[in-house]
Amino acid sequence: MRILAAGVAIASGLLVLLGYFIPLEMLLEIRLLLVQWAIILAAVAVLVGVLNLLGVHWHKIRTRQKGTAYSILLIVSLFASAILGIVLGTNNPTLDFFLEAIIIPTEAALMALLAVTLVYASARLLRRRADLMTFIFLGVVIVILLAAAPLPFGKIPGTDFVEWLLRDNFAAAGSRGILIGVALGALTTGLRVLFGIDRPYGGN
Amino acid sequence: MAEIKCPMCSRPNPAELDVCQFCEARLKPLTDELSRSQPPIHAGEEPTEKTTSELEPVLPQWLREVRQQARDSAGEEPEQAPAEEEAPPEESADLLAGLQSQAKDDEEIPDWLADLRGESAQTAPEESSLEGDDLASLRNMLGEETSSVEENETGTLPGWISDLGAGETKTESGEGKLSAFLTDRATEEPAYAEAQPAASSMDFEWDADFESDSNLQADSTEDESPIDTGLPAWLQGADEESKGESESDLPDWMRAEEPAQATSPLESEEISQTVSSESDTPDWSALLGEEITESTPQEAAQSAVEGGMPDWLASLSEESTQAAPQQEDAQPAVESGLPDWLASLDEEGTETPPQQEVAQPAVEGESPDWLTSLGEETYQAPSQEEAQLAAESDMPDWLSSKSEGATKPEEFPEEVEAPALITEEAPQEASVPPAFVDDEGEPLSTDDVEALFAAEMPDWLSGTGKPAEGKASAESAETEEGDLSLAELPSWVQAMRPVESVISDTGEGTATTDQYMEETGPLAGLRGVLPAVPGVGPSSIPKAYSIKLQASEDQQSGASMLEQMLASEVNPKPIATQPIMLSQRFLRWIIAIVLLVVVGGSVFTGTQLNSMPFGVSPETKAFLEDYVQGNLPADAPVLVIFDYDAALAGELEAAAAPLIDYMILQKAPRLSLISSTPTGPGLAEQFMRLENTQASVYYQAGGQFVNLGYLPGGAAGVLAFATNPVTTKPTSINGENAWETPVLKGVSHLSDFAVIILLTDDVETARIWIEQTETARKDARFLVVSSAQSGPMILPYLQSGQVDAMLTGLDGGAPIEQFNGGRPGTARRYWDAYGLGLLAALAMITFGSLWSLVSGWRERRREQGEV
Repeated sequence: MRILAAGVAIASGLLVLLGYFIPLEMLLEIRLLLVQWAIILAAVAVLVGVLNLLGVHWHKIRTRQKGTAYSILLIVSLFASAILGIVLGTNNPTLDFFLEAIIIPTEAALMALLAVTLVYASARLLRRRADLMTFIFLGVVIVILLAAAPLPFGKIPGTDFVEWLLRDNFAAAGSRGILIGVALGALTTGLRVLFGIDRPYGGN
Repeated sequence: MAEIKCPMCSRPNPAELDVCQFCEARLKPLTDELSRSQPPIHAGEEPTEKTTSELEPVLPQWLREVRQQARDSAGEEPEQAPAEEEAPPEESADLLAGLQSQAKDDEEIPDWLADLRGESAQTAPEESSLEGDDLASLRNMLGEETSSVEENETGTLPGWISDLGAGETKTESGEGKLSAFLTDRATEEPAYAEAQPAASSMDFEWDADFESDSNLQADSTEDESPIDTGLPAWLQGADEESKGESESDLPDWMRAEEPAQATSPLESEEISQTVSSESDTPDWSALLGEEITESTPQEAAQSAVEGGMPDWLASLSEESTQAAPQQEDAQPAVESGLPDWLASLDEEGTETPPQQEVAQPAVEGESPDWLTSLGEETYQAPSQEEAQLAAESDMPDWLSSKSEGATKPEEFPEEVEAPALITEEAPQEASVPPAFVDDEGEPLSTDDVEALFAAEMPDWLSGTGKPAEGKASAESAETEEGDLSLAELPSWVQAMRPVESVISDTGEGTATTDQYMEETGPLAGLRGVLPAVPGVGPSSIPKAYSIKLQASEDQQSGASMLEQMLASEVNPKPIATQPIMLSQRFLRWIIAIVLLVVVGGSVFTGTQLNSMPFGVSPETKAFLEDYVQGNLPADAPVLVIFDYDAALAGELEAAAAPLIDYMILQKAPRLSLISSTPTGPGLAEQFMRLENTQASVYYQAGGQFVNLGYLPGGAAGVLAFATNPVTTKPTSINGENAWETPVLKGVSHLSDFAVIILLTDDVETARIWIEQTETARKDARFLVVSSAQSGPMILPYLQSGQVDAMLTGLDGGAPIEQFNGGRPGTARRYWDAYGLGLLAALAMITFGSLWSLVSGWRERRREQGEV
């Protein structure tokens, strides 16, 4: 069974890969079919995730663990949204209200806490450790903030250059390196799966 | 020749021997003969009674010979059997009375023991062999009465012994006890008594008189057989004969004792009764202790001497008082069941070193000189070979020694040496009459005595040592002075002696002098012991070693240090508790308040302190001016991808709204909305309803834009949509066929879209869309509107040309809004708050860093100062 699973995985990968290089209509069709199957499986995985979440919180409620109230709220909200969405449709103003009144403000508020936390951490950084890197980091932060912040009296001379230097050179270079690394990693992982070395679908 | 290996000394011995010729250990176990003679015993079986005669094959050879001799002699004197039968009931005070009572119940009593107690003639022949052993030892003790001995080689006593008769008479001097003993012997060996009638006529008639006067023997003194008194047959026979001659043959000294005895019948009776209460106390020994106090020893001795009493008898009188405490000591032993003569042996063994030489005066207390002299005479007669045989036959040492140095009967008075079994007091220096005399009263020669005691004697009767005639006299003189315990002790008694006493006796003529004797250790005194090989056993006291670990100071210090290190590893280190940082929460509140005030106040107040930026990036400028205004056709399909989270909706809406609004104002494109996140479709809907935007005013769902909804599958979904968007996303969020609506009319591929605008806050999403749609979108322009946090990461795609333009956060949308004439105005509203917020954060970071730097420095200095 493990050999069958590995074979199916390898064959599917090779077909999709060959579709990129060999512009055959059949390969394109097979590739599209496999990708659509993956889309369906991904959608089902989302549903499975939701059901698993439901089960976890249900067990939490049943065993009377800490945070049972939140679990109850979650389950209620889940069923309510699901029922409303199924019944009323996804483009219903009610659901839009839930989005605009609950989801967006809640996530926005959490993001706002991040701003406070970052400021506090930056302010106490030198208290924990006062080394070169800390000073460099703080210096860059201050410069970028100065360069980015709109000032009443206009930009400070030289901040544009510094901003360019730091963002368009150093940061970009680092970003490029990260992206290349990610790409290479993704390529290696794909090849390992194609070669059967890694079997994330099961077996050894 | 077959040989048997000795189990003790491991030396080879001839197969026919029963005991080892080197160490005298048994070569053949007793059970061996028993197993051959009888069937094996099984568990639960009742023991079968056996007669002694059935066990004869088990007996040693010498004992069998003696028994045979006894049988022969018993056949010659059958008339004594009834007398012997009648004797037992009245021998309560007999020397071996206790033994006889036991013999009644136990048929397996040795013959010699039974004879001593005066058993019936039926058992006499069976026990004759045992009696012979006893007689052999007695022969050595009695000395050189060989003439009588010859006639009684089978084991009979000389006449003087048989004349003694029943040995239960009590005299003031104690001779009665000896008589009782001798009487017992006489009952067992009637042949002895018969064979030696004459020998005892002269010398031992006094014993007969004593016996006749004794109350215990009142019934038996005249007519009764020696059995009644406990004497063996041979002694009883002699006693009867002596009785007949007693009256006429009593020496004067013995006649002198008669009045004393006659005057104290009550005393005798009392004493006899006392003795009778002690089952194993011989009469003569018990009476000896009782009556001696009533007569002055010196007076008794003097009278005995005056009356012609033998020296040994006189010595008894004299030492009777001295023997009183000894007698008392002997009584416990006697009470415990040991015969008195054996008890005296014990005392002698513990008190004095044993003297194997018969010549040594060993008579103590109860041992008459005549017996001592008998032993000497007897021991002189036998040859060395006979002495060895006697030793081999388990003869007592004291008797076996006497066999080597026995004096002649003629020299009896001067060669006094009492045997060990009856010696407790120092022997008396006196001329002792010969032990053995012939029918005419003449003492027997040495050869005759030897012949008399030619049979093998047991070890307890056969002594060791070879006293010379001169030694005997010298020893007798020594005994007069009060020396004790010069008699031969049995080997088993010798084994119990102290080591010193054993070592002192090593060179005194034992039969196994050539054997190695262990001198040290628990086996001291034993012969035939395997000598310890040098180096095998401990030759000395082992050196005492201290169990304490011998470690130097350095080692101890190192060990303690290691121990501390290990202990420190095990012990958990206490976690330094940090002080509760109340300032943290306060500082956070301060920062939050400042930011809220600045940002919120600016937003709510609508301040416009900061000017809007005017300059756009070249790329953005080119897209806006060159493409949108120039090449973009009107009502062109534009795909807008909403892949950002709700948290960053404000930033992205503020950044993307001017662009979309500009494009709507310029070319009124058909907008197709899609999202790869679950919340994207909703955010898209919200975006289209933004205030002050063209879309919110002029665009309607289904007419000007279509919301394709959620695209699952991540990269695979994007790939699938890029490959065939129609099949991948056939319907819209309303459920209708989106590709047949006027919005997506003429659009079947991704490349049919004129512009693809990606709104994202995640680098990964941007990368997926950029990489997966690169080949499919062909000539379609690709714009990215990202948040300020992901802008730098997506910049490489812009720089590589994979993205046509990119707007980064509010700072990128504000110029567009300015370019668009300030429409919709969202950027303007957030611009002052954005600026002031950044400035406030900058200020707080700067001030806080400085404060942290100083405080940290001061704290470190304080910690260093404390250390």
